[in-house]
Amino acid sequence: MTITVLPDGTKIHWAAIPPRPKHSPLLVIGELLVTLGVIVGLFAGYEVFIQDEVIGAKQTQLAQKFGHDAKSKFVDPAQAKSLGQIFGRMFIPRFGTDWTRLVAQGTRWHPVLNEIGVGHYNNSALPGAIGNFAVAAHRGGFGGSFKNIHRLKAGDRVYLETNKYWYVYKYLQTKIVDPSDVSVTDAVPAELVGSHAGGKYMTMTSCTPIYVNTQRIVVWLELVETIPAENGPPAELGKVN
Amino acid sequence: MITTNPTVVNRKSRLAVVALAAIGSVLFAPVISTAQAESDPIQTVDVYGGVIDADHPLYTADPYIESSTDQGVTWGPAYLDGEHPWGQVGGTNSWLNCGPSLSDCLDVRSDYRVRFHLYHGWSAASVVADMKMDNIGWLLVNGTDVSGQHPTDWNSNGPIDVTSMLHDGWNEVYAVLVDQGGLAGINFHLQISVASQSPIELLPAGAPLHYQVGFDPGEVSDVHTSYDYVVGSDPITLPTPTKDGYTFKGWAKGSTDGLIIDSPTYTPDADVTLFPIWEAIPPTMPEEPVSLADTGFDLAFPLGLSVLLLGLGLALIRKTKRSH
Repeated sequence: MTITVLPDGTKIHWAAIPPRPKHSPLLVIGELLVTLGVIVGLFAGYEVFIQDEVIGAKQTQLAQKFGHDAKSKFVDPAQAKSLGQIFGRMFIPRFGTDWTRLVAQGTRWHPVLNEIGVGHYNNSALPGAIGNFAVAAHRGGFGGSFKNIHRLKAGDRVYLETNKYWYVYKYLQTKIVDPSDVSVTDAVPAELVGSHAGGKYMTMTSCTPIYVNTQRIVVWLELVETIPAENGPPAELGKVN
Repeated sequence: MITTNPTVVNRKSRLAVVALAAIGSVLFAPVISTAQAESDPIQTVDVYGGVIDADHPLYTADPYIESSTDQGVTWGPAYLDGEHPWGQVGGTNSWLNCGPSLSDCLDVRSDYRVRFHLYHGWSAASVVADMKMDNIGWLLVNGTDVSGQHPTDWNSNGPIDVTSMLHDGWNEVYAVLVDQGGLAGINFHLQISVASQSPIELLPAGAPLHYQVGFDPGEVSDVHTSYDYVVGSDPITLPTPTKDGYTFKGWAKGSTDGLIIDSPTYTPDADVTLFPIWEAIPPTMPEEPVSLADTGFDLAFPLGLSVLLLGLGLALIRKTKRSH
Protein backbone atom coordinates (compact mmCIF):
# COMPACT_ATOMS: atom_id res chain seq x y z
CA MET A 1 0.00 0.00 0.00
CA THR A 2 1.28 3.52 -0.75
CA ILE A 3 0.36 6.78 1.06
CA THR A 4 0.16 10.19 -0.56
CA VAL A 5 0.18 13.26 1.74
CA LEU A 6 -1.53 16.34 0.39
CA PRO A 7 -0.29 19.90 1.26
CA ASP A 8 -3.05 20.27 3.82
CA GLY A 9 -1.87 17.13 5.53
CA THR A 10 -4.59 14.87 4.16
CA LYS A 11 -3.34 11.35 3.61
CA ILE A 12 -4.55 9.24 0.72
CA HIS A 13 -4.09 5.49 1.14
CA TRP A 14 -3.70 3.63 -2.18
CA ALA A 15 -4.48 -0.07 -2.32
CA ALA A 16 -3.17 -2.27 -5.08
CA ILE A 17 -5.84 -3.40 -7.59
CA PRO A 18 -5.83 -7.22 -7.78
CA PRO A 19 -4.96 -8.56 -11.25
CA ARG A 20 -7.94 -9.53 -13.40
CA PRO A 21 -8.24 -13.33 -13.38
CA LYS A 22 -7.32 -14.92 -16.74
CA HIS A 23 -9.70 -17.33 -18.57
CA SER A 24 -7.91 -20.59 -18.36
CA PRO A 25 -8.39 -23.16 -21.17
CA LEU A 26 -9.83 -25.61 -18.67
CA LEU A 27 -12.57 -23.15 -17.76
CA VAL A 28 -13.50 -22.68 -21.43
CA ILE A 29 -13.59 -26.45 -21.98
CA GLY A 30 -15.72 -26.91 -18.90
CA GLU A 31 -18.24 -24.34 -20.09
CA LEU A 32 -18.36 -25.96 -23.52
CA LEU A 33 -18.97 -29.39 -22.00
CA VAL A 34 -21.82 -28.04 -19.90
CA THR A 35 -23.36 -26.43 -22.98
CA LEU A 36 -23.08 -29.64 -24.96
CA GLY A 37 -24.56 -31.62 -22.10
CA VAL A 38 -27.56 -29.32 -21.98
CA ILE A 39 -28.03 -29.58 -25.76
CA VAL A 40 -27.89 -33.37 -25.74
CA GLY A 41 -30.31 -33.47 -22.84
CA LEU A 42 -32.69 -31.15 -24.65
CA PHE A 43 -32.44 -33.36 -27.72
CA ALA A 44 -33.41 -36.41 -25.69
CA GLY A 45 -36.33 -34.51 -24.22
CA TYR A 46 -37.42 -33.41 -27.68
CA GLU A 47 -37.31 -36.99 -28.92
CA VAL A 48 -39.43 -38.20 -26.04
CA PHE A 49 -41.94 -35.44 -25.48
CA ILE A 50 -42.30 -33.61 -28.79
CA GLN A 51 -41.15 -35.61 -31.79
CA ASP A 52 -43.02 -38.70 -30.64
CA GLU A 53 -46.29 -36.81 -30.59
CA VAL A 54 -45.67 -35.10 -33.93
CA ILE A 55 -44.81 -38.29 -35.77
CA GLY A 56 -47.59 -40.19 -34.05
CA ALA A 57 -50.11 -37.60 -35.23
CA LYS A 58 -48.74 -37.85 -38.76
CA GLN A 59 -49.05 -41.63 -38.77
CA THR A 60 -52.60 -41.41 -37.47
CA GLN A 61 -53.49 -38.89 -40.14
CA LEU A 62 -51.87 -41.03 -42.81
CA ALA A 63 -53.90 -44.03 -41.72
CA GLN A 64 -57.13 -42.09 -41.53
CA LYS A 65 -56.77 -40.66 -45.02
CA PHE A 66 -55.47 -43.78 -46.71
CA GLY A 67 -57.89 -45.27 -49.20
CA HIS A 68 -59.85 -42.08 -49.65
CA ASP A 69 -58.36 -41.30 -53.03
CA ALA A 70 -57.57 -43.23 -56.16
CA LYS A 71 -53.83 -43.27 -55.51
CA SER A 72 -53.97 -45.01 -52.15
CA LYS A 73 -55.29 -48.52 -52.16
CA PHE A 74 -54.53 -51.51 -50.01
CA VAL A 75 -52.40 -54.12 -51.70
CA ASP A 76 -53.79 -57.61 -51.34
CA PRO A 77 -51.84 -59.07 -48.39
CA ALA A 78 -50.83 -62.07 -50.49
CA GLN A 79 -49.38 -59.74 -53.11
CA ALA A 80 -47.46 -57.58 -50.65
CA LYS A 81 -44.03 -58.90 -51.50
CA SER A 82 -42.05 -55.71 -51.32
CA LEU A 83 -40.79 -53.71 -48.39
CA GLY A 84 -43.20 -50.95 -47.47
CA GLN A 85 -46.24 -52.16 -49.43
CA ILE A 86 -49.28 -51.19 -47.40
CA PHE A 87 -51.87 -53.92 -47.09
CA GLY A 88 -53.94 -53.02 -44.05
CA ARG A 89 -55.05 -50.65 -41.34
CA MET A 90 -55.09 -51.51 -37.65
CA PHE A 91 -57.44 -50.27 -34.96
CA ILE A 92 -56.86 -50.89 -31.24
CA PRO A 93 -59.51 -49.25 -29.06
CA ARG A 94 -57.38 -49.82 -25.95
CA PHE A 95 -54.83 -47.37 -27.41
CA GLY A 96 -57.48 -44.71 -27.90
CA THR A 97 -60.61 -44.24 -29.95
CA ASP A 98 -58.71 -42.31 -32.60
CA TRP A 99 -55.71 -44.63 -32.67
CA THR A 100 -55.14 -46.20 -36.07
CA ARG A 101 -52.06 -47.20 -38.01
CA LEU A 102 -51.31 -48.54 -41.46
CA VAL A 103 -49.72 -51.96 -41.71
CA ALA A 104 -46.98 -52.50 -44.28
CA GLN A 105 -44.72 -55.34 -45.32
CA GLY A 106 -41.41 -55.65 -43.48
CA THR A 107 -40.13 -54.45 -40.13
CA ARG A 108 -37.33 -52.12 -41.21
CA TRP A 109 -37.29 -48.69 -39.56
CA HIS A 110 -37.35 -47.05 -42.95
CA PRO A 111 -39.82 -46.80 -44.57
CA VAL A 112 -42.07 -48.97 -42.42
CA LEU A 113 -41.78 -48.43 -38.67
CA ASN A 114 -40.62 -44.80 -38.74
CA GLU A 115 -42.98 -43.45 -41.37
CA ILE A 116 -45.90 -45.87 -41.73
CA GLY A 117 -46.30 -47.32 -38.25
CA VAL A 118 -46.79 -51.08 -38.07
CA GLY A 119 -44.70 -53.63 -39.94
CA HIS A 120 -45.39 -57.26 -40.76
CA TYR A 121 -42.71 -59.89 -40.23
CA ASN A 122 -42.61 -61.03 -43.83
CA ASN A 123 -41.83 -64.62 -42.94
CA SER A 124 -44.93 -64.92 -40.78
CA ALA A 125 -48.49 -65.81 -41.77
CA LEU A 126 -50.87 -63.52 -43.62
CA PRO A 127 -53.73 -61.92 -41.70
CA GLY A 128 -56.59 -64.28 -41.11
CA ALA A 129 -54.55 -67.30 -42.15
CA ILE A 130 -53.70 -70.37 -40.13
CA GLY A 131 -50.45 -69.70 -38.34
CA ASN A 132 -49.12 -66.55 -36.76
CA PHE A 133 -49.60 -63.11 -38.24
CA ALA A 134 -46.75 -61.22 -36.55
CA VAL A 135 -46.26 -57.47 -36.49
CA ALA A 136 -43.94 -54.97 -34.84
CA ALA A 137 -44.05 -51.26 -34.09
CA HIS A 138 -42.08 -48.69 -32.14
CA ARG A 139 -42.68 -48.46 -28.41
CA GLY A 140 -41.03 -45.10 -27.84
CA GLY A 141 -39.86 -42.69 -30.50
CA PHE A 142 -41.04 -42.28 -34.08
CA GLY A 143 -44.65 -42.08 -33.09
CA GLY A 144 -44.58 -44.82 -30.49
CA SER A 145 -47.30 -46.81 -32.22
CA PHE A 146 -47.22 -49.57 -29.59
CA LYS A 147 -46.42 -47.29 -26.65
CA ASN A 148 -49.34 -48.72 -24.71
CA ILE A 149 -48.92 -52.33 -25.70
CA HIS A 150 -48.41 -53.23 -22.06
CA ARG A 151 -51.96 -52.02 -21.32
CA LEU A 152 -53.61 -54.68 -23.50
CA LYS A 153 -55.54 -57.15 -21.40
CA ALA A 154 -58.18 -59.85 -21.52
CA GLY A 155 -61.25 -58.74 -23.43
CA ASP A 156 -59.37 -56.34 -25.68
CA ARG A 157 -59.74 -56.60 -29.42
CA VAL A 158 -57.46 -55.67 -32.28
CA TYR A 159 -59.07 -54.95 -35.66
CA LEU A 160 -57.32 -55.23 -38.98
CA GLU A 161 -58.84 -53.87 -42.17
CA THR A 162 -57.56 -55.19 -45.52
CA ASN A 163 -58.76 -54.90 -49.09
CA LYS A 164 -61.23 -57.76 -48.73
CA TYR A 165 -61.82 -58.44 -45.05
CA TRP A 166 -61.95 -57.11 -41.56
CA TYR A 167 -60.15 -59.39 -39.10
CA VAL A 168 -60.94 -59.30 -35.40
CA TYR A 169 -58.36 -60.67 -32.96
CA LYS A 170 -58.88 -61.05 -29.23
CA TYR A 171 -56.19 -60.70 -26.59
CA LEU A 172 -54.66 -63.88 -25.19
CA GLN A 173 -51.37 -63.28 -23.37
CA THR A 174 -48.44 -60.93 -22.78
CA LYS A 175 -44.82 -61.96 -22.22
CA ILE A 176 -41.43 -60.29 -21.91
CA VAL A 177 -38.71 -62.05 -23.88
CA ASP A 178 -35.19 -61.51 -25.10
CA PRO A 179 -34.73 -59.90 -28.52
CA SER A 180 -33.31 -63.15 -29.81
CA ASP A 181 -36.44 -65.12 -28.98
CA VAL A 182 -37.86 -65.21 -32.48
CA SER A 183 -39.85 -68.33 -31.65
CA VAL A 184 -42.62 -66.05 -30.39
CA THR A 185 -43.53 -65.52 -34.04
CA ASP A 186 -43.71 -69.22 -34.80
CA ALA A 187 -46.91 -70.53 -36.35
CA VAL A 188 -47.62 -72.24 -33.03
CA PRO A 189 -45.81 -70.18 -30.38
CA ALA A 190 -44.53 -72.57 -27.73
CA GLU A 191 -44.68 -69.91 -25.03
CA LEU A 192 -48.32 -69.11 -25.72
CA VAL A 193 -50.42 -71.06 -23.28
CA GLY A 194 -52.88 -73.30 -25.06
CA SER A 195 -51.52 -72.72 -28.56
CA HIS A 196 -52.21 -75.49 -31.00
CA ALA A 197 -51.64 -76.39 -34.62
CA GLY A 198 -54.25 -74.88 -36.92
CA GLY A 199 -54.73 -71.86 -34.73
CA LYS A 200 -54.96 -68.40 -36.28
CA TYR A 201 -52.79 -66.19 -34.10
CA MET A 202 -51.48 -62.71 -34.15
CA THR A 203 -48.32 -61.56 -32.43
CA MET A 204 -47.50 -57.96 -31.60
CA THR A 205 -43.94 -57.17 -30.60
CA SER A 206 -42.30 -54.01 -29.35
CA CYS A 207 -39.36 -52.91 -27.26
CA THR A 208 -39.31 -52.87 -23.49
CA PRO A 209 -38.57 -51.26 -21.12
CA ILE A 210 -39.65 -48.19 -23.00
CA TYR A 211 -36.66 -46.06 -24.06
CA VAL A 212 -34.28 -48.72 -22.81
CA ASN A 213 -35.14 -51.53 -25.21
CA THR A 214 -33.08 -54.31 -23.78
CA GLN A 215 -35.98 -56.76 -24.10
CA ARG A 216 -39.14 -57.27 -26.15
CA ILE A 217 -42.74 -57.24 -25.04
CA VAL A 218 -44.89 -59.75 -26.87
CA VAL A 219 -48.67 -59.85 -27.05
CA TRP A 220 -50.50 -62.79 -28.55
CA LEU A 221 -54.00 -62.65 -29.91
CA GLU A 222 -56.31 -65.07 -31.66
CA LEU A 223 -58.63 -64.57 -34.63
CA VAL A 224 -62.26 -64.56 -33.59
CA GLU A 225 -64.06 -63.08 -36.57
CA THR A 226 -63.59 -62.43 -40.28
CA ILE A 227 -65.95 -59.94 -41.89
CA PRO A 228 -66.15 -59.21 -45.64
CA ALA A 229 -65.06 -55.65 -46.30
CA GLU A 230 -68.28 -54.85 -48.13
CA ASN A 231 -70.16 -55.38 -44.88
CA GLY A 232 -68.33 -52.45 -43.37
CA PRO A 233 -66.34 -52.23 -40.14
CA PRO A 234 -67.33 -54.27 -37.08
CA ALA A 235 -70.16 -52.69 -35.19
CA GLU A 236 -68.19 -52.35 -31.97
CA LEU A 237 -65.59 -50.29 -33.78
CA GLY A 238 -68.16 -47.69 -34.74
CA LYS A 239 -67.81 -45.48 -37.74
CA VAL A 240 -64.35 -45.59 -39.28
CA ASN A 241 -62.98 -42.52 -40.95
CA MET B 1 -64.00 -48.40 -122.48
CA ILE B 2 -62.56 -46.06 -125.00
CA THR B 3 -59.52 -44.28 -123.85
CA THR B 4 -56.58 -43.42 -125.96
CA ASN B 5 -55.06 -40.15 -124.93
CA PRO B 6 -52.77 -39.59 -122.03
CA THR B 7 -54.31 -38.00 -118.98
CA VAL B 8 -53.11 -35.05 -117.01
CA VAL B 9 -54.36 -33.70 -113.72
CA ASN B 10 -53.30 -30.41 -112.39
CA ARG B 11 -53.21 -29.05 -108.86
CA LYS B 12 -53.21 -25.35 -108.40
CA SER B 13 -52.06 -23.39 -105.49
CA ARG B 14 -54.61 -21.82 -103.26
CA LEU B 15 -54.20 -18.40 -104.79
CA ALA B 16 -54.46 -19.69 -108.32
CA VAL B 17 -57.63 -21.56 -107.57
CA VAL B 18 -59.23 -18.61 -105.91
CA ALA B 19 -58.43 -16.57 -108.97
CA LEU B 20 -59.84 -19.18 -111.31
CA ALA B 21 -62.97 -19.58 -109.29
CA ALA B 22 -63.52 -15.88 -109.42
CA ILE B 23 -63.12 -15.84 -113.18
CA GLY B 24 -65.45 -18.49 -114.39
CA SER B 25 -66.92 -21.26 -112.48
CA VAL B 26 -70.06 -20.87 -110.48
CA LEU B 27 -69.80 -24.52 -109.59
CA PHE B 28 -66.69 -23.95 -107.57
CA ALA B 29 -67.56 -20.89 -105.61
CA PRO B 30 -65.29 -20.31 -102.66
CA VAL B 31 -66.04 -22.68 -99.89
CA ILE B 32 -67.58 -21.31 -96.73
CA SER B 33 -65.92 -23.57 -94.25
CA THR B 34 -67.32 -24.34 -90.88
CA ALA B 35 -63.83 -23.73 -89.65
CA GLN B 36 -64.09 -20.04 -90.26
CA ALA B 37 -65.43 -19.66 -86.80
CA GLU B 38 -62.13 -20.98 -85.48
CA SER B 39 -59.25 -18.71 -84.71
CA ASP B 40 -56.95 -20.58 -87.10
CA PRO B 41 -56.90 -19.41 -90.71
CA ILE B 42 -58.57 -21.57 -93.34
CA GLN B 43 -56.08 -23.53 -95.42
CA THR B 44 -57.33 -24.77 -98.77
CA VAL B 45 -56.02 -26.85 -101.65
CA ASP B 46 -57.77 -27.63 -104.91
CA VAL B 47 -57.25 -30.73 -106.98
CA TYR B 48 -58.49 -30.90 -110.53
CA GLY B 49 -59.09 -34.20 -112.30
CA GLY B 50 -58.38 -32.47 -115.59
CA VAL B 51 -56.50 -29.40 -116.64
CA ILE B 52 -57.56 -25.88 -117.19
CA ASP B 53 -55.43 -25.33 -120.17
CA ALA B 54 -54.28 -27.99 -122.59
CA ASP B 55 -51.13 -25.98 -123.09
CA HIS B 56 -50.30 -26.28 -119.42
CA PRO B 57 -46.86 -27.81 -118.93
CA LEU B 58 -48.40 -30.42 -116.66
CA TYR B 59 -50.79 -31.53 -119.38
CA THR B 60 -49.23 -34.92 -119.90
CA ALA B 61 -49.30 -36.31 -116.39
CA ASP B 62 -50.70 -35.16 -113.11
CA PRO B 63 -48.13 -34.28 -110.50
CA TYR B 64 -50.29 -35.12 -107.51
CA ILE B 65 -52.82 -37.77 -108.57
CA GLU B 66 -51.93 -41.42 -108.91
CA SER B 67 -54.09 -44.10 -110.50
CA SER B 68 -54.49 -47.76 -109.77
CA THR B 69 -56.55 -50.47 -111.43
CA ASP B 70 -55.87 -53.10 -108.77
CA GLN B 71 -57.31 -51.27 -105.81
CA GLY B 72 -54.11 -49.76 -104.67
CA VAL B 73 -51.72 -52.67 -104.99
CA THR B 74 -49.79 -50.80 -107.63
CA TRP B 75 -49.95 -47.17 -108.53
CA GLY B 76 -48.99 -45.30 -111.66
CA PRO B 77 -49.31 -41.83 -113.10
CA ALA B 78 -52.78 -40.60 -113.93
CA TYR B 79 -53.28 -39.57 -117.57
CA LEU B 80 -55.52 -37.07 -119.16
CA ASP B 81 -58.02 -37.98 -121.85
CA GLY B 82 -59.53 -35.52 -124.25
CA GLU B 83 -63.10 -34.52 -124.96
CA HIS B 84 -65.94 -36.56 -123.59
CA PRO B 85 -69.65 -36.51 -124.48
CA TRP B 86 -70.62 -36.21 -120.83
CA GLY B 87 -68.89 -32.88 -120.59
CA GLN B 88 -66.32 -31.56 -118.14
CA VAL B 89 -66.34 -30.26 -114.64
CA GLY B 90 -65.83 -26.53 -114.64
CA GLY B 91 -62.21 -25.57 -114.56
CA THR B 92 -61.20 -28.75 -116.37
CA ASN B 93 -61.36 -29.78 -119.95
CA SER B 94 -60.60 -33.43 -119.97
CA TRP B 95 -61.07 -36.80 -118.30
CA LEU B 96 -59.03 -39.10 -116.24
CA ASN B 97 -58.90 -42.68 -117.36
CA CYS B 98 -57.37 -45.69 -115.83
CA GLY B 99 -54.81 -46.18 -118.54
CA PRO B 100 -53.55 -44.74 -121.72
CA SER B 101 -55.07 -47.41 -124.00
CA LEU B 102 -58.66 -48.00 -125.14
CA SER B 103 -59.21 -51.35 -123.51
CA ASP B 104 -57.41 -50.96 -120.23
CA CYS B 105 -60.30 -50.67 -117.87
CA LEU B 106 -63.35 -52.67 -118.85
CA ASP B 107 -64.98 -54.16 -115.75
CA VAL B 108 -62.26 -52.87 -113.48
CA ARG B 109 -62.25 -50.35 -110.74
CA SER B 110 -59.85 -47.48 -111.07
CA ASP B 111 -58.78 -45.48 -108.06
CA TYR B 112 -57.42 -41.97 -108.26
CA ARG B 113 -55.81 -40.85 -105.07
CA VAL B 114 -54.50 -37.60 -103.76
CA ARG B 115 -52.39 -37.59 -100.61
CA PHE B 116 -52.07 -34.60 -98.36
CA HIS B 117 -50.47 -33.88 -95.02
CA LEU B 118 -52.07 -32.18 -92.04
CA TYR B 119 -49.94 -30.81 -89.26
CA HIS B 120 -51.04 -31.18 -85.67
CA GLY B 121 -53.45 -28.54 -84.53
CA TRP B 122 -55.87 -28.53 -87.45
CA SER B 123 -59.65 -28.57 -87.08
CA ALA B 124 -62.91 -28.29 -89.01
CA ALA B 125 -61.96 -30.15 -92.18
CA SER B 126 -64.28 -30.18 -95.17
CA VAL B 127 -64.33 -31.29 -98.79
CA VAL B 128 -66.22 -29.76 -101.69
CA ALA B 129 -66.54 -32.15 -104.63
CA ASP B 130 -67.77 -31.95 -108.18
CA MET B 131 -67.48 -35.17 -110.20
CA LYS B 132 -68.58 -36.46 -113.58
CA MET B 133 -68.29 -40.23 -113.91
CA ASP B 134 -68.74 -42.72 -116.67
CA ASN B 135 -69.91 -45.17 -115.68
CA ILE B 136 -69.99 -45.13 -111.86
CA GLY B 137 -67.83 -43.32 -109.39
CA TRP B 138 -67.69 -42.15 -105.85
CA LEU B 139 -65.44 -40.35 -103.40
CA LEU B 140 -63.71 -41.70 -100.32
CA VAL B 141 -61.84 -39.83 -97.62
CA ASN B 142 -59.35 -42.11 -95.87
CA GLY B 143 -61.51 -45.05 -96.93
CA THR B 144 -64.86 -43.56 -95.92
CA ASP B 145 -67.38 -43.08 -98.72
CA VAL B 146 -68.70 -39.53 -98.59
CA SER B 147 -70.65 -39.62 -101.84
CA GLY B 148 -72.23 -43.01 -102.41
CA GLN B 149 -72.44 -44.27 -105.99
CA HIS B 150 -73.38 -41.51 -108.38
CA PRO B 151 -73.52 -42.42 -112.06
CA THR B 152 -72.55 -39.72 -114.46
CA ASP B 153 -72.70 -36.70 -112.22
CA TRP B 154 -72.35 -35.71 -108.60
CA ASN B 155 -71.87 -32.38 -106.93
CA SER B 156 -71.65 -32.10 -103.17
CA ASN B 157 -73.37 -28.71 -103.38
CA GLY B 158 -71.28 -27.35 -100.58
CA PRO B 159 -68.76 -28.51 -98.02
CA ILE B 160 -68.96 -31.97 -96.50
CA ASP B 161 -67.62 -32.14 -92.96
CA VAL B 162 -64.83 -34.73 -92.98
CA THR B 163 -63.21 -33.76 -89.67
CA SER B 164 -63.87 -37.15 -88.14
CA MET B 165 -62.28 -38.92 -91.12
CA LEU B 166 -58.94 -37.13 -91.11
CA HIS B 167 -55.98 -37.32 -88.77
CA ASP B 168 -52.60 -35.76 -88.19
CA GLY B 169 -50.08 -36.66 -90.85
CA TRP B 170 -50.80 -38.08 -94.27
CA ASN B 171 -54.36 -38.53 -95.49
CA GLU B 172 -55.81 -39.80 -98.71
CA VAL B 173 -58.77 -38.85 -100.86
CA TYR B 174 -59.87 -41.36 -103.46
CA ALA B 175 -61.91 -40.69 -106.55
CA VAL B 176 -63.13 -44.10 -107.68
CA LEU B 177 -64.31 -45.07 -111.15
CA VAL B 178 -65.98 -48.35 -112.10
CA ASP B 179 -66.14 -49.11 -115.80
CA GLN B 180 -69.29 -50.96 -116.84
CA GLY B 181 -68.46 -51.14 -120.51
CA GLY B 182 -68.07 -48.74 -123.34
CA LEU B 183 -66.77 -45.27 -122.84
CA ALA B 184 -65.45 -44.70 -119.30
CA GLY B 185 -63.80 -41.88 -117.50
CA ILE B 186 -63.90 -39.55 -114.55
CA ASN B 187 -63.45 -35.85 -114.25
CA PHE B 188 -63.46 -34.08 -110.95
CA HIS B 189 -62.60 -31.12 -108.81
CA LEU B 190 -61.91 -31.48 -105.08
CA GLN B 191 -61.39 -28.64 -102.68
CA ILE B 192 -60.00 -29.60 -99.28
CA SER B 193 -60.12 -27.08 -96.43
CA VAL B 194 -59.02 -27.13 -92.80
CA ALA B 195 -58.60 -24.54 -90.10
CA SER B 196 -54.91 -24.64 -89.29
CA GLN B 197 -51.86 -22.52 -88.75
CA SER B 198 -49.97 -24.76 -91.16
CA PRO B 199 -50.69 -25.15 -94.87
CA ILE B 200 -51.99 -28.38 -96.33
CA GLU B 201 -49.12 -30.14 -98.01
CA LEU B 202 -49.77 -32.23 -101.12
CA LEU B 203 -47.59 -35.23 -101.82
CA PRO B 204 -46.26 -35.36 -105.39
CA ALA B 205 -47.36 -38.42 -107.34
CA GLY B 206 -44.92 -41.27 -106.96
CA ALA B 207 -43.10 -39.67 -104.05
CA PRO B 208 -42.48 -41.95 -101.11
CA LEU B 209 -44.57 -41.30 -98.07
CA HIS B 210 -42.74 -40.21 -94.94
CA TYR B 211 -43.92 -40.51 -91.40
CA GLN B 212 -42.38 -38.56 -88.59
CA VAL B 213 -41.78 -40.71 -85.55
CA GLY B 214 -40.97 -38.76 -82.44
CA PHE B 215 -39.60 -40.25 -79.26
CA ASP B 216 -40.47 -38.45 -76.10
CA PRO B 217 -37.31 -38.87 -74.08
CA GLY B 218 -39.00 -38.12 -70.77
CA GLU B 219 -36.35 -38.39 -68.11
CA VAL B 220 -33.94 -40.33 -70.28
CA SER B 221 -31.55 -38.98 -72.83
CA ASP B 222 -30.25 -42.03 -74.64
CA VAL B 223 -32.90 -42.10 -77.36
CA HIS B 224 -33.26 -40.32 -80.66
CA THR B 225 -35.84 -37.60 -80.41
CA SER B 226 -37.16 -38.07 -83.94
CA TYR B 227 -37.05 -40.43 -86.88
CA ASP B 228 -38.05 -39.98 -90.50
CA TYR B 229 -39.64 -43.20 -91.70
CA VAL B 230 -40.09 -43.86 -95.42
CA VAL B 231 -43.19 -45.97 -96.06
CA GLY B 232 -42.26 -49.33 -97.43
CA SER B 233 -38.82 -49.39 -95.88
CA ASP B 234 -37.77 -51.75 -93.11
CA PRO B 235 -39.48 -51.34 -89.75
CA ILE B 236 -37.86 -49.01 -87.27
CA THR B 237 -35.77 -50.69 -84.61
CA LEU B 238 -37.05 -49.03 -81.49
CA PRO B 239 -34.53 -47.80 -78.95
CA THR B 240 -34.41 -49.35 -75.51
CA PRO B 241 -33.86 -46.58 -73.00
CA THR B 242 -32.72 -47.15 -69.46
CA LYS B 243 -33.62 -45.45 -66.23
CA ASP B 244 -32.34 -46.15 -62.76
CA GLY B 245 -34.87 -47.99 -60.63
CA TYR B 246 -37.23 -48.73 -63.50
CA THR B 247 -37.83 -51.43 -66.08
CA PHE B 248 -38.55 -50.29 -69.61
CA LYS B 249 -41.85 -51.89 -70.69
CA GLY B 250 -42.15 -50.56 -74.22
CA TRP B 251 -43.27 -47.56 -76.17
CA ALA B 252 -46.78 -46.16 -76.06
CA LYS B 253 -48.49 -44.34 -78.89
CA GLY B 254 -49.93 -40.97 -78.14
CA SER B 255 -49.46 -40.78 -74.43
CA THR B 256 -48.07 -42.66 -71.49
CA ASP B 257 -51.32 -44.57 -71.08
CA GLY B 258 -51.79 -45.28 -74.77
CA LEU B 259 -51.30 -48.44 -76.79
CA ILE B 260 -48.06 -50.12 -75.86
CA ILE B 261 -45.72 -51.36 -78.57
CA ASP B 262 -44.01 -54.27 -76.92
CA SER B 263 -42.05 -55.49 -79.94
CA PRO B 264 -38.50 -54.37 -80.73
CA THR B 265 -39.51 -53.03 -84.15
CA TYR B 266 -42.31 -50.83 -85.34
CA THR B 267 -43.79 -49.95 -88.71
CA PRO B 268 -45.51 -46.60 -88.41
CA ASP B 269 -48.74 -45.98 -90.27
CA ALA B 270 -48.98 -42.31 -89.43
CA ASP B 271 -47.03 -39.52 -87.82
CA VAL B 272 -46.65 -40.52 -84.21
CA THR B 273 -44.94 -39.59 -80.98
CA LEU B 274 -43.89 -42.51 -78.81
CA PHE B 275 -43.63 -42.33 -75.05
CA PRO B 276 -41.57 -44.71 -72.91
CA ILE B 277 -43.50 -46.79 -70.40
CA TRP B 278 -41.67 -47.47 -67.16
CA GLU B 279 -42.39 -49.84 -64.34
CA ALA B 280 -40.79 -49.13 -61.03
CA ILE B 281 -38.57 -51.93 -59.76
CA PRO B 282 -39.87 -52.72 -56.29
CA PRO B 283 -37.32 -52.64 -53.53
CA THR B 284 -36.20 -56.10 -52.68
CA MET B 285 -37.53 -57.51 -49.45
CA PRO B 286 -34.66 -57.84 -47.04
CA GLU B 287 -34.35 -60.93 -44.95
CA GLU B 288 -35.87 -60.63 -41.55
CA PRO B 289 -33.23 -60.35 -38.86
CA VAL B 290 -32.59 -63.24 -36.55
CA SER B 291 -33.96 -61.26 -33.66
CA LEU B 292 -37.25 -59.53 -32.97
CA ALA B 293 -37.55 -56.11 -34.50
CA ASP B 294 -35.74 -53.25 -32.83
CA THR B 295 -38.66 -50.99 -32.07
CA GLY B 296 -37.64 -48.22 -29.77
CA PHE B 297 -35.71 -45.04 -29.47
CA ASP B 298 -32.96 -45.69 -26.92
CA LEU B 299 -32.70 -42.87 -24.39
CA ALA B 300 -29.79 -44.39 -22.49
CA PHE B 301 -27.13 -43.07 -24.81
CA PRO B 302 -28.24 -39.43 -25.13
CA LEU B 303 -29.13 -39.20 -21.44
CA GLY B 304 -25.88 -40.81 -20.38
CA LEU B 305 -23.91 -38.59 -22.68
CA SER B 306 -25.71 -35.53 -21.39
CA VAL B 307 -25.00 -36.41 -17.76
CA LEU B 308 -21.37 -37.18 -18.55
CA LEU B 309 -20.84 -33.90 -20.35
CA LEU B 310 -22.52 -31.90 -17.63
CA GLY B 311 -20.52 -33.66 -14.93
CA LEU B 312 -17.20 -33.17 -16.66
CA GLY B 313 -17.96 -29.57 -17.48
CA LEU B 314 -19.05 -28.65 -13.96
CA ALA B 315 -16.02 -30.43 -12.49
CA LEU B 316 -13.65 -28.49 -14.70
CA ILE B 317 -15.31 -25.18 -13.93
CA ARG B 318 -15.17 -25.86 -10.18
CA LYS B 319 -11.56 -26.90 -10.30
CA THR B 320 -10.56 -23.84 -12.29
CA LYS B 321 -12.31 -21.47 -9.89
CA ARG B 322 -10.74 -23.14 -6.87
CA SER B 323 -7.28 -22.76 -8.31
CA HIS B 324 -7.88 -19.02 -8.53
